[in-house]
Amino acid sequence: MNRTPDALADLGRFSEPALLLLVSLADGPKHGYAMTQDIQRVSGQKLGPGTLYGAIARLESRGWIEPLPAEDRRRPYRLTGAGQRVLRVRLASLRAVTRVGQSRLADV
Amino acid sequence: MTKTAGPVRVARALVRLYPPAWRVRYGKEMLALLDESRPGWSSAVDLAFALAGEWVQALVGWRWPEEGRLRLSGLVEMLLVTAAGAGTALLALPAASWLGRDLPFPIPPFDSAFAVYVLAGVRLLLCPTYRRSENRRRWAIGRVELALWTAAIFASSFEIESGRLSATHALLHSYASHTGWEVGLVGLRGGGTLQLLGLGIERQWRRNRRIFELQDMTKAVAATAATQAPLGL
Repeated sequence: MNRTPDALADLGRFSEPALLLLVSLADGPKHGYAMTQDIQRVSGQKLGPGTLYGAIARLESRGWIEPLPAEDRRRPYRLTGAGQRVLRVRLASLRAVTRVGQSRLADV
Repeated sequence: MTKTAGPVRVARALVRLYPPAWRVRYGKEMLALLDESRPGWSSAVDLAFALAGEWVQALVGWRWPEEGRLRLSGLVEMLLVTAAGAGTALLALPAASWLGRDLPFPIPPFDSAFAVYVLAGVRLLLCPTYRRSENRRRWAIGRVELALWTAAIFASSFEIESGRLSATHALLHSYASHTGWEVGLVGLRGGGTLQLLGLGIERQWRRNRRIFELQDMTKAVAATAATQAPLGL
């Protein structure tokens, strides 16, 4: 993958669902329904099926997640090495934003 | 019949309306997800929007849902400009009649509207290219378009009268002294002016996008804070 590690932002309106999806897959493979449940538990957001599969398709096309053999009609996905790098960079960036934001709020 | 049977039926039907390649790749999984999650109407709406986006991508080759807020504003703006151009032309011809002008027949009744449609079509083709990101090459296309519209407005202000080139700027003067095709130019001028205003609005939206992204990032921070541990961050 020749993309820059922070290319998650290029996904436009899918960048946030994609980030949540990568986070959900960080602790192991999951299929669509398990991902929506996990994301709802972690973030309180319920991803619609169109948004979820839109994000899955974009992440898969970039090689950041990959499908595993289907189990009945459900197909689990797992994070690839490239996906893990993208997630690390993004989370580090968010952590930096959080730090700055919190320090600025503390100054108010 | 269960309470959610309606949305489930609608959602399943929407999945079957996805582009064929998409259906082959993700159709079964999506149907399995719908069977498990028992979607409500909000999921059906989500699917409908995603469906439209995937069809646009399949047919035109660009991803409409991405940067949806900007693109939606651009499409609304374009529709408004097109409607304004057509409306101006429709109003211009009767106005010229009321002012006693002998309109030539066959009237080119929608000259200006047609021009606006053509230019709006060009804009539709260009907008995905230069909206997708803010790099210079794509911005340059936006500027070419801006220059074309500006040229169209100024060109429509010049009319050849008795072999001489004269500038006319007053709308009423155009209605009162000139005939149908010239009135059409007034419509083009009005449409072009609105288009320029629209481009200004679009640039404002582009600036606002950074604010949207910051808001999204803030939400994502809250969502991801609890899950950094498994990655060892």
